Amino acid sequence: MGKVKSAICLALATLIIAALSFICFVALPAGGGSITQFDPVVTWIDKDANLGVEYGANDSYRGGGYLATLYPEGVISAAEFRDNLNSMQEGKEKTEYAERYTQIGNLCFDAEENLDAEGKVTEEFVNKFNYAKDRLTERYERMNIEGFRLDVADGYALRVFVPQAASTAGAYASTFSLFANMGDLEVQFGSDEASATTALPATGKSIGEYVKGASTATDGAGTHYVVINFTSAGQERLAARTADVASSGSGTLFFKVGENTVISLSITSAVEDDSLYISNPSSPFSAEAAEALAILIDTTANAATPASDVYDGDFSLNLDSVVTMRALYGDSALVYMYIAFGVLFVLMMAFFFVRYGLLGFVHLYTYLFFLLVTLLCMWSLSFITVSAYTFAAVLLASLLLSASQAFVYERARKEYVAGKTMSAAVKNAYKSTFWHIFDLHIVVAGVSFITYAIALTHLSGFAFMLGLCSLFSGISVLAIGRFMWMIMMRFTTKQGKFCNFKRKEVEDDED
Amino acid sequence: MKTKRPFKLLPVWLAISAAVIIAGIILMCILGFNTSPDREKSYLVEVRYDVSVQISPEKVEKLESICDGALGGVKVLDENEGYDSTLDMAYLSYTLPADTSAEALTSVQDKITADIAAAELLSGAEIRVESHAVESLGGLYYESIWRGAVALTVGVVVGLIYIGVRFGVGCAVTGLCLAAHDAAFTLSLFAITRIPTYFYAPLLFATIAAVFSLVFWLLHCMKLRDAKQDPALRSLDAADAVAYAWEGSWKKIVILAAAGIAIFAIAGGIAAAGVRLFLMPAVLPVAVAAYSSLLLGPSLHIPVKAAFDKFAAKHKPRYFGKKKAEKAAEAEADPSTPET
Repeated sequence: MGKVKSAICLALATLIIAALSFICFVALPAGGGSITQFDPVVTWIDKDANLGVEYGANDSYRGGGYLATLYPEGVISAAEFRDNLNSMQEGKEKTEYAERYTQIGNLCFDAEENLDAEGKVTEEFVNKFNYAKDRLTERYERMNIEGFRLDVADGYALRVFVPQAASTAGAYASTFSLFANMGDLEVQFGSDEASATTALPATGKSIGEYVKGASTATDGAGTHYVVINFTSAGQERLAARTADVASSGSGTLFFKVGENTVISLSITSAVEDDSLYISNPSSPFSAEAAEALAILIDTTANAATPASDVYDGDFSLNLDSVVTMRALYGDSALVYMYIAFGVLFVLMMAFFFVRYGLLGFVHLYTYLFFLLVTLLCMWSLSFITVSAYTFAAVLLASLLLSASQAFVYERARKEYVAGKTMSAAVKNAYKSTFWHIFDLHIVVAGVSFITYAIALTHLSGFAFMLGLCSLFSGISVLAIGRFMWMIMMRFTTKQGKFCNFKRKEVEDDED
Repeated sequence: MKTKRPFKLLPVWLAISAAVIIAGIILMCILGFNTSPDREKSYLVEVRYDVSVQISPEKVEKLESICDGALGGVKVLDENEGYDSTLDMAYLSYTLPADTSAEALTSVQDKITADIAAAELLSGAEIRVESHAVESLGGLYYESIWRGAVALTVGVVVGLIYIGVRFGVGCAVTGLCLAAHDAAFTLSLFAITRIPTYFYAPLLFATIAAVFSLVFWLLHCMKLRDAKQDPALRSLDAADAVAYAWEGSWKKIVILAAAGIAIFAIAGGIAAAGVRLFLMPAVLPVAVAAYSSLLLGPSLHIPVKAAFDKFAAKHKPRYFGKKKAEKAAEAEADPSTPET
């Protein structure tokens, strides 16, 4: 490649990298209207809710998450009991209220419902609570929300924390009341809820014999569906039960968990398919809402032990409060992470410029290409978030890239010192190190992607980022780095000096 | 070539590793990891105040200082704030360690209530001070743990199949032993040293150890293959070949390990406390991988390579084609041979 072509290539590469850097890192004023500013790509990437940083409209997003407290039926907090009591007028009602509840620790129990004659929690209540705890655990476990947490407070209250990612802000908050529904699944059919009668299951049978489970689906237009799959027995029974809908004109299927209806589905013809695709045209499901509903139905239909085997009657959890919490690591954790990255970047570049002279520019271009492509991928792939462990994955891949670059440069230095011309030294260096670099990157990327495919949550995110970055690192070293070296070398006559390579006897003077 | 002294100490390295791993497994079974940052058991003091009544920022500041003052006598693990949308109240929370006494907890709660009442900060506004004993349901994460362990195992095995194809089965066997060793050793160190980590972190550290282990071992394998392809070195016995590979790769391993440790230490040093808790301990898996690659790996590979070389010698193929390296050597020796 001649000097002119090299100059054009270098100018183009510089322009592309500068433009991408601008898009990725610099906020631009939008020039009025409702949009006041174009945010850079780094602000669009989802962040770990624990990191905390203010952005979004009016700094609406600050990380953190939602903490919900759920009490079993017949249990309230001591503070709520105290407040309720204080707000009542002296009289019979207040006395009855005070007598109704017994305080044990920080909780107040409805003595008639949940305590025995000795004032201890009944075995039935413990069974109910454990059943609710297991169902809630199972449901949230199936949601696979990174950073999710479930605690038991004061022995008989449940506290659920779900992190707030920027893309799912508020989406999981609806799961608190939805997952609080306990009991068995029942499908009722009728013109209204009051007059509806049980369609599934048949008396004395379990719902699992009629409903296989539930999942989600999304059509081409982006509408999310809850898909309920029936067994052949369920399909037959539902078809028979809804057969008269043609004569009546319409009817409604009520999917109930315990006493509460979670889906009301209007139908105008008999349900004869083995699957029902349910959407909500008036208020479309978000992906998270559809998933939560499907999980609720699936875990209830396929519960190892039906609720009716554990306790008699009705039971559910009551949502007491939902607190929007601030980021766990503080409001500046992300800023400090960026500073740490900046310091490491400066140290890396200082090493390359000191050891390899102007060849450091080749590494700078190579690394910026790697970094920008990684950032754009993180932005475009919605399941990737900026977190401590994705940060660690990027650092590891950066180390791999820098080590590979240094490996090639050292090999080229050796060849050059041995007396080869610079172009021959570079060619030989890449030739002799190609398979070494290829092996290193392919092994790291392979291990990472396989781990990502099997693992869940944190490890999965870490492994994916490491795999992706290793891939980009390999491409950057073997293609971009070599290309940049080739075109940059055209602009100097003292190529040895350019790379800070010194021969022992002869000063560099070839072209 | 003289066999290096560290390579003769395989029983010592094995003894060290066995002692650490066995102790670690026992501690893992009995105590698990120190996941105190995840607060498996703790106490929570919660203060809610009504925001439907106008409260000046100064009064909120005063309220917070009252809470801080009341909590002065006890250890506070962390504090947070938020907004209770159900009750329309602002929310402050203070997490206290599980060993906080009941008396101290009651005293804190009472003092906050009394001091707020005495300061007449929130006249007309409802205020609620509560304390709770909180226990985390760690079982929730078990699926992610066993699936993570399976994922790591499958990933490493596939990586080593690649190494087996490229560098020989012997290298893959030693690599598998080293990756498994490094993951187990790292987990054991975390169990023994009781370094506080998040619940999910030990598995990530084991993954970092396994990845570094594979990378370091690959550097050895590359040099071993160079020795095998070099006609002058092909006749080296297992110990000498391993020593040759070690000579050519130890500097790279030390530099890479030092760089890895420096990166995690610097990033951890600058990062906020919550991020530091993940980044700082990540220097351990890098150090473990360096130890095993420099000392245990070469020592272990000598008998493994000897066994595989012996096996290969016994099962020699009937037809011997000229190897590339031989052809290249011949071509170099005889310039009249046309290049292909």
